[in-house]
Amino acid sequence: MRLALTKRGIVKLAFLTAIFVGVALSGNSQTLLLMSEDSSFIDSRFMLEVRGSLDYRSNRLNNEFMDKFIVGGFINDELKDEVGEGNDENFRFGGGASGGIRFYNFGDTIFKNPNLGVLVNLSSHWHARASFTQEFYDMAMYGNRQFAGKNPSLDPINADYITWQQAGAGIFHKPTMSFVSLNVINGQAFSSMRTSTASVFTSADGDQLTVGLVSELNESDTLYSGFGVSNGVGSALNARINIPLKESKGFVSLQLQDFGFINWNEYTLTHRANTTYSFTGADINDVFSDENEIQFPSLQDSLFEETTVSKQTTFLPGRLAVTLNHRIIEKGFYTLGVEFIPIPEYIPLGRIGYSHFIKDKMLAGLTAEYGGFGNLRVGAQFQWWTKSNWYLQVQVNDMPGMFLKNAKGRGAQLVVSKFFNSKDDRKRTED
Amino acid sequence: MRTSQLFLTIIFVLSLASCRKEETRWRTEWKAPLAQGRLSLSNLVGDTLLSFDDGGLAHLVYENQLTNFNLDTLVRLPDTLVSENYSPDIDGGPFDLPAGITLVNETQQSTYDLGGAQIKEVRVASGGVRIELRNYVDSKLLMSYQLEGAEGPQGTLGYNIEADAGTTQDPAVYEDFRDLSGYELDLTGINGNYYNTIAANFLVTVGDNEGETEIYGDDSVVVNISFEDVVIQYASGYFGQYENELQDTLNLEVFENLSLGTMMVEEASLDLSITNYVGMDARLTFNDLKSIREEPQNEVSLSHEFLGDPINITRATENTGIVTPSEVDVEINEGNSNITDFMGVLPNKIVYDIDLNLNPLGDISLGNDFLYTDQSFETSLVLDIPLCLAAENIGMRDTLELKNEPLEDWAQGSVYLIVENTFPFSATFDLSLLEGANTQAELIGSGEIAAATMPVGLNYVAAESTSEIEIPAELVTKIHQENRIVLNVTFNTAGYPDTVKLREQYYMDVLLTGDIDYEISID
Repeated sequence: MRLALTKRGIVKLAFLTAIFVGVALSGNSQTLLLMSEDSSFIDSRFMLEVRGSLDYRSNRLNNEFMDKFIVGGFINDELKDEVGEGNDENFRFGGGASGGIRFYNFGDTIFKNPNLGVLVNLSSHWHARASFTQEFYDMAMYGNRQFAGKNPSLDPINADYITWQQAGAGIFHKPTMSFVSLNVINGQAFSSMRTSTASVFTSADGDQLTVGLVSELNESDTLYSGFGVSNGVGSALNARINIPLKESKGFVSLQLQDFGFINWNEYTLTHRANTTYSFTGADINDVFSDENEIQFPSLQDSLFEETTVSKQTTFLPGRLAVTLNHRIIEKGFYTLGVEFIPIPEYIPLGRIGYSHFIKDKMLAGLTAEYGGFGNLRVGAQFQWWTKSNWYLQVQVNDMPGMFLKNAKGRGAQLVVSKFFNSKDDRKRTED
Repeated sequence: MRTSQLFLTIIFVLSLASCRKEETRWRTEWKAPLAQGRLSLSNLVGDTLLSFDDGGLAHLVYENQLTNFNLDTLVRLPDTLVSENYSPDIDGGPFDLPAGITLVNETQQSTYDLGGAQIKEVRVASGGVRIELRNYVDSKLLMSYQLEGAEGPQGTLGYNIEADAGTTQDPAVYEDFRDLSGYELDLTGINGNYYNTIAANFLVTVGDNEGETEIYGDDSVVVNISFEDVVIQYASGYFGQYENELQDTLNLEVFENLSLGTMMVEEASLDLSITNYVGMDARLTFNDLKSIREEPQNEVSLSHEFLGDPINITRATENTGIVTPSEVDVEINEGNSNITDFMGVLPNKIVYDIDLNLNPLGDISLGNDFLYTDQSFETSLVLDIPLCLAAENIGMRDTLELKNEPLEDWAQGSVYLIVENTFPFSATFDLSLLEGANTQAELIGSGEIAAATMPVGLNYVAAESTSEIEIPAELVTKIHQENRIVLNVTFNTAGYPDTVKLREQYYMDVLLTGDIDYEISID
């Protein structure tokens, strides 16, 4: 009966962790500043930015299903059927979350260039993703009774989870808010499963279960866990280059995020399975033994026969994004963008959008995206630069997903910034 | 609301939205083997109890020690060996005596009453002797106490001390304890013609008092010698005539799990073997040998010619420490007893009453009895029941404890028991929930196992039986709570009361599968 535990572990890795983690939205960060005619933010002494994002997305798992993992509850047959039927495509799922602060010092002059300043940042990140087959979903959600007499192939099954904190410093270009920063990474935890072969044969009369498995499961030191725990160290490069177009038509943004690695410590575990295991039940003689205690063997122990401990290196889920923001009317501009994350579950993401200045310092927009971990979705954004130099950015990349149970993802990003001691502030103070 | 407060509110609401509320659960349906295997007679009865004859017929063979007479009481040394007050052989005083002058030189033999036994020699297994010397003389003395005829790992047994001066009110006291393990004590006295006698020499001389001694004729020294926790390993001599009656009970766990019903056995036998390791003639009388079944209560007294008649067992012999015992066997079988009825009650106890008489003819060895206390009489019992039997409603009960976390997530389901049986007996079984201490509560399910049929040579044709036990959700909940199940099985041999023979090649192939609704939950 440890099959359930194994299954539970896989499902947990694939689903549950991703509820709380997600890929940070790259979105249209600070487009208001760069598309606005007001460039007075350059004259600030410094800017403090607090940001948080949460996003999960799938090509097949809908929000009602995911909600059961977020807030709990019973997943009934109707919901399982709705998610599982009508599509032969493998399940893809991914999500993440991040939160952090970034400090821009506009008062600096770097390399004798008054347009360059220093930035420092501190942030925490979670990321999870998984992909699995229809047969695996059916086995996990319905059990093996429907497979009696059959030998379904459940592979491939892949799942990854990683969480880390980073602290970094870099330089930024004040007029375009381009930046490059180098970060030191604290690896908190990771786990990764690659299953190339997985099958479960159930005999017709239920007297035999045969599990075939070729799989590798890596995980960081399980003894120490929790926020901020260090099980590895690494580094990462973050960069964003905003290239203005002629005649203030807009800009092209090239972004490289989380391009780095983590060296996990010597207590990192690798469990390997390359076996076929047949389970025919407990020995009936145990029933009549003096012990009078019926013990079932651990399927997990039986399958993952080899466990080693050693240092390991993993790469962060780095992202490359290219975005064009091009003004088409005085108050409006369109956005075209693509994003890449070099992982199998992630298909290149395309984005198109239109944004409009509804006031001089208030921007609203709509976006449509396709790809990543999910399919087509429509989102919206709102940016507001207040008179008191607060800067608010709210972005939802799947508007229907916020309300519809059968949508297949949710995501939001909130950025709150404050410019300090600009000339305007000082002037108001003097007045 | 200020802008900053709005932002904080938004962050707070988003934080609350991420809180988990309850477990994520869903129902799955699994078909899986739970247990299977082949049950042979060894599994049902136990390897240690089963043997097979040349024809493959199974025998239930049970061996145990009926009793082991403890004859330690035959030889017990007295606690107090010596307690004497000695005075110098002078009158008046004070006398200024030089060092080396002998004040006391006594060799004394003490003969003890050992309850009729006349012991010549003992060897001590453990324990020791405590020696206390008291000097009431106002002068330093040299005191020496020597136990004659004592030899052991440390040589002879003596105690020498240079005693300080004492007074009448405040004597100088010296104590010592000597381990007697392995010591041999000669109890025949100085000349070797006594028994129960220990000889000792006590010597007291004047010590070095630097020219100043004051010794009076009525001064004294005291010797106290006592045995402590002495256990005798070996003794020889004449132990007297000894009679003892032993009434005791032997717990017979072989039938412990069987109950009810009637069982008839054929050709059962009971061998009693009495072995005498003691150098004394003995006479054993079995007054009663009774088989008792406590539940349901039943008992049968064995009927055999040896019961009530004394059994004479000659003495063991000893040569250079090697004992050759004498032995008497009593065979009890269907031909000379009511052994079938005796065993038919499926006894869980055998009660016996035995009289033991040692040296019934007196000291015919002329004082050459011997006894090793760790090995005296052994009365062993070998019960042999060929499994050629007829059984009607013989019950067996077993308690199963389920200790697996995944079982706790069972929701409901059915369990199938598929049995291929080549034994010539059928069985009905039921599984019930066990509550509290051992109260049998709700019935979980029941089923039947058909007997093999139609003998073909020595074998029977296997019969296949399938039983389904449906376990509804409410019952699963109770099983989760209690985790203990009692299995009751009732056996009936085919064609009862005709007997059937249980052979080595018979077996029962058992397959237990589950068709289970299982609820997965994730915290």
